Amino acid sequence: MRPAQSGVRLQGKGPLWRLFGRVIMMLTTLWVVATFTFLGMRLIPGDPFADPKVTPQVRENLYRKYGLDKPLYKQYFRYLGNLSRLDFGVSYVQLGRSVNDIIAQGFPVSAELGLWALLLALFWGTLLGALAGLYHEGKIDRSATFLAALGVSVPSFILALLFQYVFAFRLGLFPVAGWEGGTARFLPALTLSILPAATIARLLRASILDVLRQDYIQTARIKGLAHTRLLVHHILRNAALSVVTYLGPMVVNITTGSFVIETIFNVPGLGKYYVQSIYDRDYTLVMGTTVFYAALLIVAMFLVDIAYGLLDPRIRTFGAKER
Amino acid sequence: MRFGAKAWFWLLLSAPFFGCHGGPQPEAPRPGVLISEIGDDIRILDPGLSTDSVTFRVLTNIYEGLTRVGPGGRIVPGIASKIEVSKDKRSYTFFLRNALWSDGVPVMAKDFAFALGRVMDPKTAAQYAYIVTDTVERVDVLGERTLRILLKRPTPYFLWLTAFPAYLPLRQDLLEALGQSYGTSPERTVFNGPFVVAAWKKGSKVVLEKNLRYWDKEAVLLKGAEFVVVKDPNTLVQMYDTGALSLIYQVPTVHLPRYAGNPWLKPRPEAVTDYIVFNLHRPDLKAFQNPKIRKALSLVLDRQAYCANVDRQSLPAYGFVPPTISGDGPGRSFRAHFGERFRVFYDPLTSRPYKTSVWFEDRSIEEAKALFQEGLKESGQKELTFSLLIDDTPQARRLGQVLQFFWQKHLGVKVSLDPVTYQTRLARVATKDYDAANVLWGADYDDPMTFLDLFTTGSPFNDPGFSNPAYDALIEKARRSSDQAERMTLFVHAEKLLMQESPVVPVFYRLSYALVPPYLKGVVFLACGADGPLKWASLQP
Repeated sequence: MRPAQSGVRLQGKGPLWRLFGRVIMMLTTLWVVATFTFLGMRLIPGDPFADPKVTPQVRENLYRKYGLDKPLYKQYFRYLGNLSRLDFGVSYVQLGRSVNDIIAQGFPVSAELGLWALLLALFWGTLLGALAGLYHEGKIDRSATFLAALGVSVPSFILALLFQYVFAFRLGLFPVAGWEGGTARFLPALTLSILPAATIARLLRASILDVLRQDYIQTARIKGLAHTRLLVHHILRNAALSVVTYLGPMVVNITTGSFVIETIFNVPGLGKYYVQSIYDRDYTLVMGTTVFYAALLIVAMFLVDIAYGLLDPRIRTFGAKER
Repeated sequence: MRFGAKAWFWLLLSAPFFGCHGGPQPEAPRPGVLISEIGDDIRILDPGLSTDSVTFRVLTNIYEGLTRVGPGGRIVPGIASKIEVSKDKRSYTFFLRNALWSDGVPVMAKDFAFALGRVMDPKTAAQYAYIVTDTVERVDVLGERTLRILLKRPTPYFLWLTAFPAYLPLRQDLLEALGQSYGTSPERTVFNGPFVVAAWKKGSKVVLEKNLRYWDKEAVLLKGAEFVVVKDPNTLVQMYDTGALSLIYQVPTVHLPRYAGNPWLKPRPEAVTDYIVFNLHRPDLKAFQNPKIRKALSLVLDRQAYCANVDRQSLPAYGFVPPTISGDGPGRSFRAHFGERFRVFYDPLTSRPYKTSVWFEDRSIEEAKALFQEGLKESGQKELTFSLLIDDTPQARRLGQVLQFFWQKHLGVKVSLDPVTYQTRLARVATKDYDAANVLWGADYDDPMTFLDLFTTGSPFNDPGFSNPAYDALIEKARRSSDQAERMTLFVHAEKLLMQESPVVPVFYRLSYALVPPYLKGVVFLACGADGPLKWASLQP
């Protein structure tokens, strides 16, 4: 996967111009996401006050209170206006709470969980991937590939149950669920890290194999380069490119929370709300979390582009001297 | 290849990271603190705006109304120490005791008047407004501690209503100062119940502590209580099994078999009826307009087999009002005392008996077949094919398949199942965009009226679009009556008529099970309203 090269047409106009073009592009993407979410939520049946007990009179009162009785285009422009002031509005379900407040409360928790999982994933993924790549077609490679295949294919809710059963119920090492104290963080972080770890391992293995076939590795070997230097500067650095591409969206994905893992482990993060709000038709919360997620993703892609340039000067987009 | 050594390098690099997981251990349960569960986070600490049972479970412990519902569903004294009822039973005068809010301000009559006025105001958009506006005509503050509530008509269950969240008191000064943010955190809420909220960790748990300013604090034995938010059924039972929870209000369906035979398992019949509703206004489905066909569809079902062998958490329903609803007095079940024929059913896991009145016998296959043929002839149809709207949950699908089986086998009716999400189902039933649907109704208050007035002409909850002048007259008469004996007779007649006409076909009454360890005493389980008051609960190790 190559990152989007949105500055293409502005090439030759200088890095600032390209940056400007990129920002415009990012804002347009956000606007499209916001609009589609708004329309999508209104197209599916149901509303935030769907309850078998809501009388038509009460529904009318509620619609008036939240401005849902106004024509759709008016609601849309009000929503865009609020969005431009970074105001996501008030949740219809968690009464009296602003969506900004819900994100401000849930995101740090999800992000913390995501960061622990990311560290675990990077550690295990790199270790497995590097070993598999370097000991290609040996026993280590086969077992690492098997583990990685397992990690990619076993769904997280199964892993969660397994880890809960073994580590919490049988061994009593960690609490079954919750978010109090350091030990409570381990099981959700471990569960969340398995899929990215396995993916990193597979990506890294494939690119190491690719790099090992390159002429410059042969040259370096013949030159008698130290193994550590060869490994770190020539093999891993070049092989890491594919992992970095994956890392951008993955970091956003993993830090915005997982519905399944947060639900199973009672983690008070954002991931739970992200899915629950759609069931609840909590329009403002759905739109708030979606736009927030999209913004993070767009920024992450941008950072990946920059990281790309640092790793490989040939695809440098910003901050490089004109050639 | 000598790269193997590098693995050790990485492993060492990661060592400090594994050390990070030390941190503080979760607190050990404090003595005298009950740790139980809620299936979702509470929504707000404002009783006027709350509608869901989880929030109710917390509210009933932190607020106190004029009355309170106690063990066995009986009305016990709350903030009102004396209640005078006028001869026509339309005017209630409440004399308030010396009680304090948690910030030391006395609880006054005006706090109740303000709260009721606010719920009744359309601008508040309270979802439960109708439970006040349908009953209350006027609220007068007669003195600092004297309140008179004038009712629209005599309401025998009114003292049950005064314990309901929408009737709980609120402080005007705080509501005006805090606006919409009242009740969004413990700092922005005042309490007058047995407990106060010490902490609300959003998405995680609600921590209660005994309220030292509560008027009846001597009766409160617990030092505190915690409600942990647990959404996942597996997590719930594993937390219980590892001792992280000492009470489960509702054991998840999938894990019930695991606790069958457990002496701590306590059946909790709910005030919920699950039923089939027929759309009576579909020009293309003339058959549904014929009561004989609807009746036949009801008679071929084997409810007992379904409840005992398939669902295992329900009681068969042969009438519309569930057995948990009181008749002529709190604790005296309408189903067990009023009717023509009675049967005894047992709950599937603990075999507790329930005496209930029945309006028909199902599995009456021959009678059903004959009725069905007559009905087809009368409506000029050759056969019947329809789709059944159900929720896309495993339980609803299972019920749908069972119904499909009985209807196909005995009557040759072809039924297709139409599973949709909860939201879609509500929307489609409300707009009458369905043939037949599986729906359920839970009580709003403890009286048969909350079930039987659904099917009066023009009722907003009349899903089948049923309209019968005789039925309307019976319900209207019961609504005006203040004589409990007369009301019960009217309800019996109304239910009999409803079952004859069968615009709706009851299938089962919902039942759930709690896990209550023997060292936990005095938790009150209520079938409707705000369930789970812990005022009288105690932990005796």
